[in-house]
Amino acid sequence: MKIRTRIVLFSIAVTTAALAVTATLLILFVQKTTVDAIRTTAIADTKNFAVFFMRTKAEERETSKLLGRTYGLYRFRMLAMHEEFTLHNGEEYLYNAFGFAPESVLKTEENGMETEYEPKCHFLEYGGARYAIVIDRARLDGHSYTLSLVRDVTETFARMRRIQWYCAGLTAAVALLAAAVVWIVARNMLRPIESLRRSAADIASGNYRNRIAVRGRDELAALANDFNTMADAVEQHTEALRERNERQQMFINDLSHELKTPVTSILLNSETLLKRRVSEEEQMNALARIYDQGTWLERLSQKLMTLVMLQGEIDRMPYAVSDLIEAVEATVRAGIEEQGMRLLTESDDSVLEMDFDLLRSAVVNLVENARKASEPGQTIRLFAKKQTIVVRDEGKGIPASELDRIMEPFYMVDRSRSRKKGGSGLGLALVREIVEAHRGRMWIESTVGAGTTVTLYFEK
Amino acid sequence: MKNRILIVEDDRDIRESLALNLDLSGYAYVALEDGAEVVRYLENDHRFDLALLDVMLPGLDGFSLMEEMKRYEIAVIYLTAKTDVKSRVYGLREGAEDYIVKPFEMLELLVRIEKILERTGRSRKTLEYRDLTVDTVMHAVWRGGEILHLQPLEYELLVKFIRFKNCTLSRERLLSEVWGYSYFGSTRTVDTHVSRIRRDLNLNIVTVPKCGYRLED
Repeated sequence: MKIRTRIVLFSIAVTTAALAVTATLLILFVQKTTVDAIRTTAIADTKNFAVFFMRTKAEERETSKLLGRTYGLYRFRMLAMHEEFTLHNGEEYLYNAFGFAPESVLKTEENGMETEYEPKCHFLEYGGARYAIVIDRARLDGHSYTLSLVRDVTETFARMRRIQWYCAGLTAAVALLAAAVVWIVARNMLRPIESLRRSAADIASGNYRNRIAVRGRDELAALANDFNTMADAVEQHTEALRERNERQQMFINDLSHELKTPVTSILLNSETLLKRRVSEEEQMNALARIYDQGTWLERLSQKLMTLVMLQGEIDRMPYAVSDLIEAVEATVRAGIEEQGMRLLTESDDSVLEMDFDLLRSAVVNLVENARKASEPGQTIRLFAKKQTIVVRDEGKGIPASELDRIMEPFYMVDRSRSRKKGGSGLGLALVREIVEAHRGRMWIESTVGAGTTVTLYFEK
Repeated sequence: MKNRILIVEDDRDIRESLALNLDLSGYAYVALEDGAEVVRYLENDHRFDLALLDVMLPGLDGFSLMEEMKRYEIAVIYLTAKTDVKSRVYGLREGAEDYIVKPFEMLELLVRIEKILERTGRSRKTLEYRDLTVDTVMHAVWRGGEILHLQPLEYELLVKFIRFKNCTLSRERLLSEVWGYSYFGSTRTVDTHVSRIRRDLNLNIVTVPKCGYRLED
């Protein structure tokens, strides 16, 4: 059930109940006052009538029964409003304008002549009409009479019934009106929820860039805000996933492209050897090319294996950084000095958690890059301090436009030259992977013509 | 007059193999490795019948070189590692004659080069082998001044061998190139015809074990 329907139904129930209770109480009050008024008036009228009836003095004390009867009836008839009363002399009705005998209908047990008699008002229905009946006693000329007021109150009761219906109708109408108002108010109040829901559905359907417009400062605005925060997180996540996916796709594309060149060369050269009649020198050249490309493929596969391995966890042990620098130096010094360059190293006595072989190959790679960029006479510096390893050269530098991309797999600033020197374009990508596997970061600063500085920083 | 072919390929090994094979098949070639270098080179020398262009080149990429090639009316075959359909369609729509994906077979490339030269009317009109001269327009073969009478199949076979001189042709390839794809004959037919022209025309056709036949100089 929709919230709005629920609110409307609930408010109808509450309003109706409240109105019904009010109306009922009101009706009961009106009824009670009306009945009380009728009762009081009737009793008062009866008493007055009896007093008036008895006030007529008799001349003769003891009269005959017949005379007394005639005289009593005469007195009774002389009084105003006598039409509303019945007159009974203990044996028969001397006057009764109604179709029934009030005393017998009421089955009054008022026998005898108690002095303390207090008349009461009774209601009864007879022949479709409603009557208020009050019975009183009176004495006249030694005779005792029963005076009964029989007052038709049908109309008063009918009016009360009409008031009841009117109240019920009013209750229903007011409840409906209230429901309509609540319906409209609920719609207005729920509108932000509806728009929130729609935006949420929109985001959920994949438009992670969309945000919910936040209006006001109420709970709904807070909810919208929270929702936007969630959408931010989702967007970031999917974006990261998409980027990773794209990077992987690009890596695979680049790899297949990268594999094709050596494979093409191997196939072309072997085809030449197989199908062509060529000089012995050309045969040797073709064989050398096949061998070269084969070794190159082998190196590439080694690097790829390392990359794959780096996706998992690596084993790290504490090693002295100075040992690492020494090991790197042992590998690279000869090559650097052979080309007329200098290598300066420096390290403190700090200790790093590392996979020694992996990190060594990474640093060797960086120093080799520095060597390739340098000219004879220039100096390459390698130093390790605290949590940082720095490789700095004075070589040709990297253009700013290339800096962002050089850590991508297979990226080469000078493609044909790199390939000639045996580069695969995987070097820096590998170094970065190794560094990241050590929970480190790597950044490169470079100025064309002034040299390049590569910094590796490892968290403690 | 040899057909001149321009090779633009940045990988040294592939460039050298292409050059070697084109040379052996009787083409003249110029091999370059840089896109920008090509533009400069063409200013002075642009009498090429066909260019083999790599797409990913230093300097200027192969697709960008198309303009130059059109200007000098050089037919283009792209040789590339880019396998995606988009690049292929782009290359061909821009006016390349063919788009060959690496790795490729050398013989396949040579066949396509021949077909393109033929299609664009630039193939050699007369073929020569030792004292034989073949006029491909008149479909006539001379030895010295004397005209030789050949069966149509023998003529086609001879032309194929001379065109792909020093190149081993498999029986299957000869069957499909000379007899046509619709022919379902056995490779024995090829053997019979080859030995006949070898004997009748005194050709130096070498049988290469497991590979096929090769006409050698």
